[in-house]
Amino acid sequence: MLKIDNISKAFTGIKAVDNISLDIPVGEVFGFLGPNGAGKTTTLRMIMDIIQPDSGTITIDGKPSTSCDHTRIGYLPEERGIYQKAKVRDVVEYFGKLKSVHVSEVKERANYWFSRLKIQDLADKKVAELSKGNQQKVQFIIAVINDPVLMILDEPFTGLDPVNQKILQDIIKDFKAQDRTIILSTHQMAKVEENCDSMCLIHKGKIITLGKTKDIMEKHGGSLDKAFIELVGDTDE
Amino acid sequence: MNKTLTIAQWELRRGLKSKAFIVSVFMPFIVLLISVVPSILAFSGDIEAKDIGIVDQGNGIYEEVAQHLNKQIATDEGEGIYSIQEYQTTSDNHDTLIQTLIKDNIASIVIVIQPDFMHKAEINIYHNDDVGLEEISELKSTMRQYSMEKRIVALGLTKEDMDYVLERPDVTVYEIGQSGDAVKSNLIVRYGVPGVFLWLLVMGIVMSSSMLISGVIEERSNRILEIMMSSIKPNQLMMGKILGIGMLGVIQITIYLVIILIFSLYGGAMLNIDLSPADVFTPNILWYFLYFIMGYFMYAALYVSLGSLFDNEREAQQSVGYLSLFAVLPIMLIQPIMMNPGTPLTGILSFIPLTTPFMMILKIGMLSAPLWEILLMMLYLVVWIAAISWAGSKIFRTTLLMYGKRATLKEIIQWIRA
Repeated sequence: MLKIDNISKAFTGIKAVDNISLDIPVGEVFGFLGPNGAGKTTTLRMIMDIIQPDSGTITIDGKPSTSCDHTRIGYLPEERGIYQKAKVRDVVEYFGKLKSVHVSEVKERANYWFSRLKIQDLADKKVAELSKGNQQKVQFIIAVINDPVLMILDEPFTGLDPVNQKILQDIIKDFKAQDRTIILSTHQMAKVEENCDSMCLIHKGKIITLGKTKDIMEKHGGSLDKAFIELVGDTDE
Repeated sequence: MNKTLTIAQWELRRGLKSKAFIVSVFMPFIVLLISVVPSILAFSGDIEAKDIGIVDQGNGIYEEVAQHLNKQIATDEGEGIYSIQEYQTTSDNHDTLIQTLIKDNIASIVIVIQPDFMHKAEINIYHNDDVGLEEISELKSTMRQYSMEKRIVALGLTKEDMDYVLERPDVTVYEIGQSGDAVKSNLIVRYGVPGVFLWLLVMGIVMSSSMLISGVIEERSNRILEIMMSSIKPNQLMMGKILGIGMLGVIQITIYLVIILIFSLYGGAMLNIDLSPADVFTPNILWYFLYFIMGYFMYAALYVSLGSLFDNEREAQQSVGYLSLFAVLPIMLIQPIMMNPGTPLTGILSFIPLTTPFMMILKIGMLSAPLWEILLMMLYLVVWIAAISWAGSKIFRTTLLMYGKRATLKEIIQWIRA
């Protein structure tokens, strides 16, 4: 589904991403981990063609990411924000249209997601009137309104209470069952343990471990927290 | 193209719902009212009854002057407004007496008719601070008229003779333009209408600037742009925004045209001036309309491009707000341009893209610019709008994820060249 081949990116001479290669098959939930400033967001932005790598290539479904159809990719960036003065429904429909979803289809899908995320009563309110958690749900809806085959979720659980985290996890499981590919970037190791088939850990722009989540956990005493501390700590030393 | 139109539609809806747009539509008229109404009120007040003192220094004309004043400055029923009293002064008490009269409120105005009035025609007017400019001007003209009538009579002529001499010729001005036909010059058509359009465009741009900038700033500071850029290309985003905001300009000018139509239908009678819709809605109005829209589009493109360089509105307004000065420049220069429209200044300013739309409105109205020039300058503006949008999308793409760092001019040029 997604093939990243030796991509690098530097900002003002500092390498944010250094020769990263990944091959994520269809239907996989892939954990993309790393400490703050490791280069995760830069990599995700390159996959979305928001910024371009200095070297290397990214292909999605066999096509270069620069020319592939981005309307089938769902993207929930780490930095959140939506039009505060607009109505929830209008914002969702707007982004749906931008992702080439037909007007009638976008309304139907919006209603489905409003009710699945239990915000149907808030659909006609202004975004600014919603709590932070509910605004987060709206953003999630924007990410999935185009019925994506590849989803990039950057810290999707942040700001959600345990009940809503459970709802989100169920959605991820449903997506997996539908053979959709998901890249999950998070600092919550438990979520990776629960949801991800495979994962990689990057630090200072480089991959320091890559493989099946289970294998990595086994190698580090059955806990990803431990693996994270050991691997990142080792590199820092 | 569909996505560009989606963005345009969103921007248009967002703009129409914003208070800033409603304010920007009506502000030119509010500013006009604020600047015109007080001066109308100030100069249309009736002269109030006052005590007036007249000191006639040996000319023996007190009675005549008093009668003249009572006749000229009178109520609607023909009764003199002033209560006039004669005072005699000597060289010893002249100054102190006048000061006392005014200071002790015995008289609000004292008119001193200097000796040998028939030859020297000198009058001094003293007044307290309750007397306004309009009243003084009225008194001066009344006394001037008295002096003229007196001299005419002294020459053995009659008042009718004076009226005959002073009658102003009825001058009709004709203008022969490119077509070679002599057309009766109409000041409203030639100066008034383009002046109004110029004013509306300036106000439209100045008032909308904060709305244009704040839209981009919101998307940047709320990180909405990142989601947008994952679905669309920067040039689509720029074009959509400019198109949407430009459409706001079209709506704005259409509202103005309706207001102007209503004014041309009823305003003439209200203000007692010769004005009809035919005076205003000449073929030139189409060009004013198009130049207004293009001017609006150009400033929208500029504000959207430059707005993306800033993280917060205050910073952006401070820096980009200077651009509005270009819009105000033609207003500041309108008087010399109206006095002498053929000056090289008009030509130079019409080639500076930021002032082109304003100057073309003036040139079309005042200089009867030929059709080829009107169309050529329109093409010139279209090229500039496209160039600004293209450069803007380059800036946009680079600044999208750049927070907390202000770009230098050198960097901006590098991004555009990249």
